[in-house]
Amino acid sequence: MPNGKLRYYYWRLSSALAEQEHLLNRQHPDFSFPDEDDIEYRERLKALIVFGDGSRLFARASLDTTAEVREFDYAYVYFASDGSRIFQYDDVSHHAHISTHPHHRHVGPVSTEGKDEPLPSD
Amino acid sequence: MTTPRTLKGDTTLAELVRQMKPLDEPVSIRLDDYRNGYLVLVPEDDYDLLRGAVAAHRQRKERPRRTPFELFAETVHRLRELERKHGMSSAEFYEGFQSGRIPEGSLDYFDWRVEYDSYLRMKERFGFSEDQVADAER
Repeated sequence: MPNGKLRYYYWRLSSALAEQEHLLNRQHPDFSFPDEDDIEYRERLKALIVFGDGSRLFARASLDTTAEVREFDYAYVYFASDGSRIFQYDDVSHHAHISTHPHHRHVGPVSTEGKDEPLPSD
Repeated sequence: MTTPRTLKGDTTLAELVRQMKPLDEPVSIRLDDYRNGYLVLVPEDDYDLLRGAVAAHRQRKERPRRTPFELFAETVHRLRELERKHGMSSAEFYEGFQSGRIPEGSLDYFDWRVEYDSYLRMKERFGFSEDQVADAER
């Protein structure tokens, strides 16, 4: 049951990544990017992109192919080389007051004092 | 990529460009004399994509192909690992996280959510079960 939409999604992503090859550190043991079978059969994206400056992007998304490929239950979290969070985009349905609910973002390091105020997604 | 066109050997570059403009899609010409290659004329956006795709293909690690069932078994194992670590079933976690009862915080939760989505959809799409995974590992 091949799904051309997911194969195309895969190749768009991997091509976009390859175009930024000079920024990546693919040799890093934590670097991970799925192959097309993984995306095709599991219908989800699971990757950790490590950049040359030591920063990293954690990416998770389930993929719906009912129409065009749509990401849901997603989270993109970008960390500085020291492990502190720079930003996070996700669609966890916890913040109904946000205008872009459920899509929202968090900016800056994770608060250790409890509150991690979400902002509308941009 | 569109079906390759056959043009006469003396077709000029200007003629190629003239043919491509109204199409806004790649024009491919088979070059039998050059390693069975193609001469491809593409719009700029497609060129970036094409170059990226070729680079991605070359850089891709050669990994052994896994069957859908092997991928399902890996997903089941990951779910069990998360369940043990966080002390609840995947169904309990999913309901709690999606409803807001379990707050954001751990990256594991984002991982767990997509693994569980994947697990449910592979069960439905392929008819796999956890019993089959257990049987296969006996």
